[in-house]
Amino acid sequence: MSLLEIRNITKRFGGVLALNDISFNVEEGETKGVIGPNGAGKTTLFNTISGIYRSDKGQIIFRGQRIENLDSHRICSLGIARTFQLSRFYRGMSVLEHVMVGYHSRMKTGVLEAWVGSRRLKREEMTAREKASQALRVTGLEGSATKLATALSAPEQRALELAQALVVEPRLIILDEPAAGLSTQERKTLVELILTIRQQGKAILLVEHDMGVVMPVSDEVVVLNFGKIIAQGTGIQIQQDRNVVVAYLGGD
Amino acid sequence: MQLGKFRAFLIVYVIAAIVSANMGIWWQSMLTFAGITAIASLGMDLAIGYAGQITLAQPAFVAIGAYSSAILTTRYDVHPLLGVVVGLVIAGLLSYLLAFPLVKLRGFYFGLATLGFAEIVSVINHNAIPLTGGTQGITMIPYLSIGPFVFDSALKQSLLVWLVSVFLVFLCLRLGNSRVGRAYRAIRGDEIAASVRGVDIRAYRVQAVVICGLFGSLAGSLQAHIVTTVCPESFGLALLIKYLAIIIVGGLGTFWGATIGAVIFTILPEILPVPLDFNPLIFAVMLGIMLLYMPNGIYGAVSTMLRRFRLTYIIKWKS
Repeated sequence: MSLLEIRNITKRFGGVLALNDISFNVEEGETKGVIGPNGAGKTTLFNTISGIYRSDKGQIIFRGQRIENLDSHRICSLGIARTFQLSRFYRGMSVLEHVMVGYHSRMKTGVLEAWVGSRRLKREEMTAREKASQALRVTGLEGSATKLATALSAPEQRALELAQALVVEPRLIILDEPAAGLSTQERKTLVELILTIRQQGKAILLVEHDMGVVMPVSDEVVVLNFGKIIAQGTGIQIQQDRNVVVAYLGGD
Repeated sequence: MQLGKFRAFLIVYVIAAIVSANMGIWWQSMLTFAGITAIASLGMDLAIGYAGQITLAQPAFVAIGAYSSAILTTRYDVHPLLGVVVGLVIAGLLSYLLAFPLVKLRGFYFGLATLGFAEIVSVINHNAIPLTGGTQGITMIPYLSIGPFVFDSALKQSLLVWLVSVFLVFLCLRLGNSRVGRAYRAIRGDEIAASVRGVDIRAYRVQAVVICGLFGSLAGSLQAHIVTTVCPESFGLALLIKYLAIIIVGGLGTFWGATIGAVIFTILPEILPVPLDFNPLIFAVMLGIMLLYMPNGIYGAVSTMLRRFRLTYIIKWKS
């Protein structure tokens, strides 16, 4: 059984067929790259996996459980985390608080306990803080813990996206164009970080345009165009695939 | 940190209590009304200011609390405290039934739907004469009592109401420091991101609206036992506008802001040499000025000033 099975996923937006019968698997600990020209359906695919969109047809199976009809927060607590291409922030909250929100699904205390100020609440808060600080350390943001998230620089913002995904200790992380807007040096750091995450045994679904980021880390690559998979295989295989060349460079 | 603040305000409460004990009944009554308004406004501040859920049905929940207390204590000889509890249960249930199916609606449309609910409640209050007494309302509501202690004087009432009010602010501050508080702020900031990161947005949105309704009901019950009459006129659109003005002027999501706003909007209309009919105009003007010059409300502006003052003081001291 694969960690994640995408089976015949189809998604329409009015007249536009954004995802057309998509099927592929992600194994435990595997890093799978997803590439394709702009508008190929990569972000739509990720939004469908994380529950923001509901597919019209098909199934998504995570660790043997069907998740295509679940709410996003349920999908998160089952072990899938994702980052957003354009960093999404909560106004007025600090960097540390952002990551602590990320840990929300692993905590249990509710309103009544908050009002009473129970010991379990205090313990949970401490754990949340530690986990959040840890995630900040891994992504290099410990110094900015108390800054407002909106005050971060662009690469720091991407790091925060990653920290929020890591804190929940997911089995599968979906990275939506993590290298966008980063300099060459920053991309190298990103690749190292992705490899570290991979070493921890997490599976990674990675969407990126920069082949310099995708190829070194991916075990396999899926190529999308116009909502369909046009090629699947190792990095070398797909680079030589005729369909892929045509899709990126146009017809003869 | 919040605990320390609470101790500070407890001290303020005690001082204010001693001061009001020596003032006239008019002043004590004014403070009592301000306190009741503060409780209802606090609920709004939590739901709208803090959690970003635009619920506009608060006057209806204040009415539910008021009428529950009134009907149960005048017609069925129920003990006032039990009446308060029943009001809370009804308000809690109705706010849940209101919010749960509507939770798929976005912001503005959710607000319109809650407004519709408020209107339904208002129509019932005006017309269900056997139940609510229609436009005449209900009179001769007994005072609140805890055991042998009866809250029959303006002073006793204001002490009770303010104790409850300050305590509720404390609860809200506690909530803010917890996982739930962060969830509310995350939902307010970016619902989809929060959802993807594990926050059950539907559950928390409903919860915020329910807590708001509960605060409203409590305020209404207290009002019934202090004014000793209820009539449907008091729970209309004007009250909603007052609450909105209060939480915006006080400072959205600051909790103490709702209290400060309530005091201002209760006392100001009384001391201005202008007829009470001008209230909506005054509120609108104040709202406009605040949004232009102090978008974080009074509490926000004072906090910022204090922070800057502390900073310049530290800088001066170090140099």
